[in-house]
Amino acid sequence: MSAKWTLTVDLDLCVNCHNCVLATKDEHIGNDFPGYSAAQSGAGVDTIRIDKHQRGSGTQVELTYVPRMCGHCDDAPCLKADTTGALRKREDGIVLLDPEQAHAPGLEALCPLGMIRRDAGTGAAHLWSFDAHLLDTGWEMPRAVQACPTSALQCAKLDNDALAQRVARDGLEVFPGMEAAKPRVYYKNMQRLTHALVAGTVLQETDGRPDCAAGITVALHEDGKERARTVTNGFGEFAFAEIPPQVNRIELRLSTPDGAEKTVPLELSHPHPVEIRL
Amino acid sequence: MTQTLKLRTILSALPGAVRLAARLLDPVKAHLETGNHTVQLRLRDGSLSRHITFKKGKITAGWGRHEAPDAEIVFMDTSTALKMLQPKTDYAFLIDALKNFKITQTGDDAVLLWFGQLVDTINTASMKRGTKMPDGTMRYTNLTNGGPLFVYVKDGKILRTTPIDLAEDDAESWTLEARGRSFTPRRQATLSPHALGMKSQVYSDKRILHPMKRVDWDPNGERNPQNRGKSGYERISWDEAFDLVASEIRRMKTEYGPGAIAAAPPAHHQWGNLNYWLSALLRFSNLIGATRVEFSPISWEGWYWGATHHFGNSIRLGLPGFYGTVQDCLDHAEQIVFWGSDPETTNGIYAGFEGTERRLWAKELGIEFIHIDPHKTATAQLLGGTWVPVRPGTDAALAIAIMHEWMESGSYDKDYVATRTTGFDEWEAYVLGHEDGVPKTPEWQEEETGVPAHVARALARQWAGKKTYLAAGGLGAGFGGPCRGGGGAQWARAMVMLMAMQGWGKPGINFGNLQMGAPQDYNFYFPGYADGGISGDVVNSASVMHNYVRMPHIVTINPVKQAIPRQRLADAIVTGKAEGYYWDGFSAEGQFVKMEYPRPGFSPVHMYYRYGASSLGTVPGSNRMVEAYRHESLETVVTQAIWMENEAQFADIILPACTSFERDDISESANCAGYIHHNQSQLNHRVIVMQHKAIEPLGESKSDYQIFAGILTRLGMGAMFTEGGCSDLTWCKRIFESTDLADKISWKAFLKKGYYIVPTPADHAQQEVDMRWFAEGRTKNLPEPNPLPAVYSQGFGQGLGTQSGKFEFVPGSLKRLGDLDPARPAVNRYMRPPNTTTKAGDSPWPLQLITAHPRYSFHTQSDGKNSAVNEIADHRVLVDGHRYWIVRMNPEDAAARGVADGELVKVHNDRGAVLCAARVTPLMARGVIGSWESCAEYDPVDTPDGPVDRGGCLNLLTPARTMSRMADGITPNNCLIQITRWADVNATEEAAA
Repeated sequence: MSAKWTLTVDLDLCVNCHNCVLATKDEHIGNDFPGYSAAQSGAGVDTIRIDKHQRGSGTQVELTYVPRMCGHCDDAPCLKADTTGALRKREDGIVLLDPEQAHAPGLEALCPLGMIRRDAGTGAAHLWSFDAHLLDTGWEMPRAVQACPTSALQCAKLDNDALAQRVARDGLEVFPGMEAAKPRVYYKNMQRLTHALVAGTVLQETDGRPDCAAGITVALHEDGKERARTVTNGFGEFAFAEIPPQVNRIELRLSTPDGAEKTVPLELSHPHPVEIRL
Repeated sequence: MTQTLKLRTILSALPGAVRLAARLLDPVKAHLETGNHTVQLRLRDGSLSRHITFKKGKITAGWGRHEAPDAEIVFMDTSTALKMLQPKTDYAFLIDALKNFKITQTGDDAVLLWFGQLVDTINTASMKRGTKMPDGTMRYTNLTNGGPLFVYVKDGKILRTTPIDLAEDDAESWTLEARGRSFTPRRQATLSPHALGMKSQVYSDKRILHPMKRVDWDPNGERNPQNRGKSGYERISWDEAFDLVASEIRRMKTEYGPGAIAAAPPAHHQWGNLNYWLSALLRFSNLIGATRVEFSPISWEGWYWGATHHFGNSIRLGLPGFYGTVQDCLDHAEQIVFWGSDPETTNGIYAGFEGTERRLWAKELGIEFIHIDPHKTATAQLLGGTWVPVRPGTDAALAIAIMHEWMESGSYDKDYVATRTTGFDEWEAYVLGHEDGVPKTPEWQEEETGVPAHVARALARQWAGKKTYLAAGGLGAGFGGPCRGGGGAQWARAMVMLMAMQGWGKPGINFGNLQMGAPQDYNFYFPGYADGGISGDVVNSASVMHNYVRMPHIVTINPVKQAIPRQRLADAIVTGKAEGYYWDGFSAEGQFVKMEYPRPGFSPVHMYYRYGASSLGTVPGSNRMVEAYRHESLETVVTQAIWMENEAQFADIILPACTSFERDDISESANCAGYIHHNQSQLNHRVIVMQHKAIEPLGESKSDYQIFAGILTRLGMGAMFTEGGCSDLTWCKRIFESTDLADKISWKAFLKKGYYIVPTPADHAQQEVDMRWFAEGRTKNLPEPNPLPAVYSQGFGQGLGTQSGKFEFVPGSLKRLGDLDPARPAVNRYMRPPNTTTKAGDSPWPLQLITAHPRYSFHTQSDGKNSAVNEIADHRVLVDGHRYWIVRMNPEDAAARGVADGELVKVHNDRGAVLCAARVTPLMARGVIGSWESCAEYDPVDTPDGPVDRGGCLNLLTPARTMSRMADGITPNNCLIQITRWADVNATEEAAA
């Protein structure tokens, strides 16, 4: 099995800077790469797009930035559905859209994730080509990866064994719902999208005034069983960031260093800021 | 050979040498074809004369005195002539010879310039820029406000621009050891988003490609100032443009006298040491004599007008220092408090994402983070930690309450306070309420700041219990953020007091967010832009420190002693009067010097020479500039700009400048010198860059330097301005030779490769930490020229630049001011700044707008102008074919107004209205609207609801007021507004109709 180009995206490290988007546009606006991609017009086409996903609320709200692009799927739905012959997958895993046939209608509908994009200026369809024209001339990575300041985006040419090892080591996952298509774009820390966040603040009374309760043990129980536990910080804050999606009813069991206890039931389908007073 | 014989031989060979050069070098041949002149070179006593005639590219020469040469260069004696005619110009000699009239030049200035350019072309035509790549493209280098670029060019067009990945033969990266771990930075010079947008800006359809004149502006008749910004333009030739500008300059001087011309710098132009405003523009404006339009220290504001009085550092305009703080923070700090500090958004300043990696190391080491900000910042999101939202402008109240808790519990460094500070008792009396009966408790501050008392108390406790780095402002060591508001001085003052109470300078206790103070060679000299470039201005730039001494060039002095504060320019033009206070970092008291316009004996301004076009986006209260531009007293407006953006549309004459990709320059990444000495310490690698001319200038555009040369040649100063025809490239070489770089790499190799990485010395871990000397009572030992010797009260290197030499909780300088500035008392009492919302407020403008430094653009760079950056949905939003500037608002504020994400909203107050797109986000605190300053577009449209700007210039709405009577800082972050759904505005209008 030959090695194929693979992209990994670490959702903990994407800060929405858009360097990947801008570097890719810099490469493709006004530049024809015959056999690889057509020139993009105007301010370019969003072959990479950054989506947002929110968890939590109040001061403990969390936004996750999700770079999205052609997945260069090993079992690509677009290739299966393509009747124009514009799309092809290379030996090294890269899916290319033939610039000569990029004006064929309907191409943008072929990707279930919507990552084949139409240039309003030229009418040509585009996908993120992994900058194959650069890789073929010795570049070690596409522009998006090179420009990523936090190394949230990384790439490697991996055979399936090496990929499986990488997936296991880093807990990589493909975009939800895309498993069957076997994309070569993998995400790290996907729980930010797939799991729930329960975060809150614990207050106590000190000298007759509300006070942030530090050092409180908070245990998360589901069906009477403890699933996770943490301790509040100096501001009385706690967070559980990996609650599986099927979980709804939970209990937070709090215990103070001097042995006092409190139980708070929560229903995750009704998100609200959690402020617990001891 | 006798000297005379030698001179005779050189003069004899000269025509042949030029002919040979023309045969070998096309640019020389081309230049020869542009002039038909006779130039004479002779000794003053007439004993030797040689005249050379250039005609249609042919060269003839003769001996003996020509009676009517077009231009003449006269040497005092033979040895002077020989020295000047050496193959390599000795500028120290040449400048001296010119200044002492050992060499004189007479005749037609244009011919002298042409002849100088001929010699320059012979010297430079064979220089080779850039590196040829295997695929046939040429790889050049350039530098932007957001980091250095490789620029790949094919067939005369920029193919791509990329970050610079360091090569194996570049200097090694440093390794830092902390808490048993080793850290080495990524070998790349990282880029800010706006740097990656520059290619789209070079080829923007908003480029100005030809000189232009406003159609209804007639210099000999009706000037129609009322139509500025409305009437269109007609194309004119460069000759017409230069003649027009030169004749207007002449007319101003003749009709009105000195002061009638004002020259204004931009808020950031293209990067460089040559074509920068502190370089070429200063040289030009000094040579014509102009009323200066003076900046206030925008972005330092609260530190300059406030904090400096407590601890000195006036040469840093009141910003704390940073030496050694990356090592110290990673070694010792337990937490970092980010207070109005979002380096992941602002990239410090000019620094790409160089600090990001270091902050991620801090996270790995378990250092904790707290973020005090009305916005849950990009930094807070990346690093995690506790978010404490605060009402903008009231931050000082929270800080004072923290100090109250420390005083009550005794949890501060009492020994440090006793031995290193003065005035603590007086300050404590205020904080504890002994002075005014009001203890400044967490409950007291809650009313002001919106921060719950228990959170303030927890913050005080947590801070006192851990070794804390305070990141105040974007650089960590000050800059931006809350200092740009009405409460900016109060806040910055409180920040330094917090640190003084906790032992500022002790291990793990300092200012910083790992953005500055990276391991680096702090001894290697290369100039930053504030070093004055070729300005020769030893008064208004830092030129005299190094540059003027190291690179002999002609000094220039502006004889017009009149100045206008930049923020008051509109008042100056409309009302004829303006006043303010000078930006003077030589001492804390320098800022007390008043500036008044007009100055007795000088003319009011009637001609405005604008360099760049950004002020509608960057100057608070900029709605007033529109009226100023249309005022009848302003007879002539010249704008030298790259793009048709922002205020360019108000000019009478537009001179098209090219971008830095189209001309030569030389500079160092992030090195601005001057008031941020060692600003490049934000970088993991010092990168010095040849800013290659990678492509020909688009259209008829020219380098800024060449535009100035063109105008000055009409005024007989072309040869003087260019020092005998120096091209942009020759100046780059002169700058190169004036630096430590010339000892490390040859000009030829540098010109080819395009960059040089300055090696970090092996002993970098021993770098003294900022303020450590002070904390330990030693002599100051940091590599900065601060303070000036005379500022020390205890002797050179002893103590801080304050009256006592100690940290002053109640500053002597402000005490000496007496009651001249009541809103800035010596005791830093909290006063709610004007334009701040409160709980009870039922004002028609219930929301508070903050306009921070932008994330994706840099001032007007990479915004508007069909930039690729416009497409970023957190920068602009496309609605009905137009890309609108965004305002970020909390979901509850949006719901209360029926505003959905992405919808158009009218952002308004009694100063004006701006049409923006709403970005509804839980990251904004309630009641606060977050956006950016420095929009590039100004696009006013008349609507049934009145005029609105759909460009996005939110500074049209910000107050022009100062911090206090004498603290002349800007206050844009205290701005009250209302937001109304645009569809609702239209519905109301339709109903009324």
